[in-house]
Amino acid sequence: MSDENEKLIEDTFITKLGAKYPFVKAKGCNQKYGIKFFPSVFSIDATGVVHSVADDRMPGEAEIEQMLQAVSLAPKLPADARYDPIRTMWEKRDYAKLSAYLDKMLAAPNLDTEMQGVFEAQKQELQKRVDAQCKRAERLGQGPDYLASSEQLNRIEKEWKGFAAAEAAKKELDRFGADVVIKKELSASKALAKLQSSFDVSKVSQAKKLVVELEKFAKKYEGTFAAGQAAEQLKGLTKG
Amino acid sequence: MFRTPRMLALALVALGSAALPAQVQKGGTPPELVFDKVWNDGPATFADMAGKVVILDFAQTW
Repeated sequence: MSDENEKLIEDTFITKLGAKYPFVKAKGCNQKYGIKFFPSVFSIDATGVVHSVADDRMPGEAEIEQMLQAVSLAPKLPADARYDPIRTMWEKRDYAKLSAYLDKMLAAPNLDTEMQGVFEAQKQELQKRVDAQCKRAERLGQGPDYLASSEQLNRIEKEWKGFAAAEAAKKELDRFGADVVIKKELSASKALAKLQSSFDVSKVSQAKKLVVELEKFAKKYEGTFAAGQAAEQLKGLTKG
Repeated sequence: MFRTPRMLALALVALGSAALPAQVQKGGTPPELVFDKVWNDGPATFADMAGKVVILDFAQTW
């Protein structure tokens, strides 16, 4: 997260440092959170409460695991056993089954008003998530890291089978497969990932070999996103 | 002779402290942010992170 200008963020964190995690530009974020130094890390638990602040020690893996246990994939539902099947389907991400179940329940005769309201709200929530995944598929289709995008799109296609989101993901994946430029980007990114995993840069001799290989790579795949990443890694390895 | 510079330094520290915004407190509600741009398949809005464990890492280029 940063409040600097977009180009600077993109050049520094996305391209040069090759950040793979979500990165956000939010105007005034440093002021709002009272940032005094960088990097400053805050953690927020699943209930929306600040769990740790910048002055604390960064939460460790065990602590994060503990927080993750409280995460529910199900949207808010009344604490009533009648809705347990819905909760389970959300948790299992079994969206097709959930959709069929909601349709069946809503078509049932003599459904009481409260349950009808809950089921209709769940249908709306499901549709909202489908729409969000459709938009996400569209965003992923824009690259520039097509390898990371294709992994995410494959996941959407599998998870949202039978919904418009799966179709949207498939459409992008098909386009990736038919576009010569994207195909080149994909093979370059795969080659780079393979190259990077073959060397242990904590060992000086291997880091030196990687430098040689990255130089060859950057020339061979010139103009691709992966070549840019290789060039930046090269800068980092040869610095000093 | 040394009095003025010393007082100036103190004043600057005081001014600096006053200008520092208060840090978000543990146990509180995180201030909502408006996302101008999102990279790497991040959430479109702050509200999209509701119900999830979120690690906010504030970074700055040097």
